[in-house]
Amino acid sequence: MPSLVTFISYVSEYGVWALIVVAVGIIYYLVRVILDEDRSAAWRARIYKALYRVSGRSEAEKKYIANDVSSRINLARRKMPFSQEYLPNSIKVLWVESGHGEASSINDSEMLIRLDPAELEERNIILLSDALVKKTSLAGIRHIINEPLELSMDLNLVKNLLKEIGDRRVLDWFFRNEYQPVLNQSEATREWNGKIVEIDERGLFTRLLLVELDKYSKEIMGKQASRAMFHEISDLIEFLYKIATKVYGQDVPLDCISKNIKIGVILVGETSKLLQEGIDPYLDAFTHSLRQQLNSIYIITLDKDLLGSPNSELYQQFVELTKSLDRDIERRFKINKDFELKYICTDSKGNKRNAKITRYIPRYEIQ
Amino acid sequence: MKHKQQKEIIRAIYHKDVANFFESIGLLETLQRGEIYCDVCGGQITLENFRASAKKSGKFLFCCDKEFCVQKLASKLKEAEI
Repeated sequence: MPSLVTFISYVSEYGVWALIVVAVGIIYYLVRVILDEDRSAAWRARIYKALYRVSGRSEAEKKYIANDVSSRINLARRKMPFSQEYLPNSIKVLWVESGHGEASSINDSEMLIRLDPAELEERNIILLSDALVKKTSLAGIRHIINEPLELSMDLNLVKNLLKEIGDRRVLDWFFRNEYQPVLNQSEATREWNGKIVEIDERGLFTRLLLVELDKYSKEIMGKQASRAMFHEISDLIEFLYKIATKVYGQDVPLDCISKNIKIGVILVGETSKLLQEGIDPYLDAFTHSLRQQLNSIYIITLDKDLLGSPNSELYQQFVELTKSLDRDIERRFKINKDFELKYICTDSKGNKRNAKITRYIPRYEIQ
Repeated sequence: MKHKQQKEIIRAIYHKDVANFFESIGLLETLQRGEIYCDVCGGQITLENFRASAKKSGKFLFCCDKEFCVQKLASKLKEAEI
């Protein structure tokens, strides 16, 4: 209502120019919607939903379900940290036509899912999120990991996707009817899930674990799956779990080195250390990682709340030092900076933290 | 540069088309005789509780609408691959 009053006052003050500005704004918005497949699907869903409510026709219901589910999942997917290969792709729902000879059009290993009526749309969103995660994520390693670990990673991926959708009814349904019942089925799944949740809450599930698992799947492509491969993956998860649950002052391993995984983590979390000793200890740690011929080196910075007191001058100093650490790494070492992501995570005490993760790929010269 | 996302096609069966689907794969009568079972929990599949199907080595796998069964069907496919 206040915006309508403001609009009327603008029109009375600026006359036709106010209308032109509004019209241009609307056209700009419409062009953006039309050019954006997922946003336009969301609008189509609204239209077909209204048509279905009025007519009750199956065609309208099918179009509503397909457009609604795909637009909601795809728009949520775009908000997740990566948009390329580590997470599930975007989705397109295609109805099985059920005509004569349909059986021959179904590919081997392809899953067909019966969706519920439009009134149970939350369930449809979860079913398709599940199917999407299973079909497109953890590619190349599903045959190596055991079922409890696979289930716990899938559950957390689906949970992250549903969180981004931002509909509490969908999340409630998922937790009540899927997440908890699956965990209740097996102690091993609960155990793995506990670790994945801790890693995820520190922001390291999608930004580090999935990145490294994707790289791992490329390393082992074409090789026979083995118990040793499963151990490499489980060791990586244990390594990240120890970092995720590390408490102030506790020493945990910061390198994970096996046949196909060689990663190092440098934690910039002890503010007093950075402020007192400067960036040299972190540069030394980076040099040490390079000597070990690691393939990926991550710098994880946790800031602000770790300062203990809201001293803005010290905080500014801390921020400047982290920036100079990044500059010095790029200047001194032969590395490629793969990505730098800022995010907010929850620490082991449940406090929200500003964080940043940077992945560096060293360039080693072949002797 | 804006990255164009790859679309993953997921095939879905409309809730009113379940009988047509079984007919199209030649199993409607078997279903009506109560001879199709969930490949995960072993329960009888009906038009009402059918949730998902997958084809593996020319054979159809089915699962009922229990959450656990849907989760496990994908693993069943993986087991068959190995």
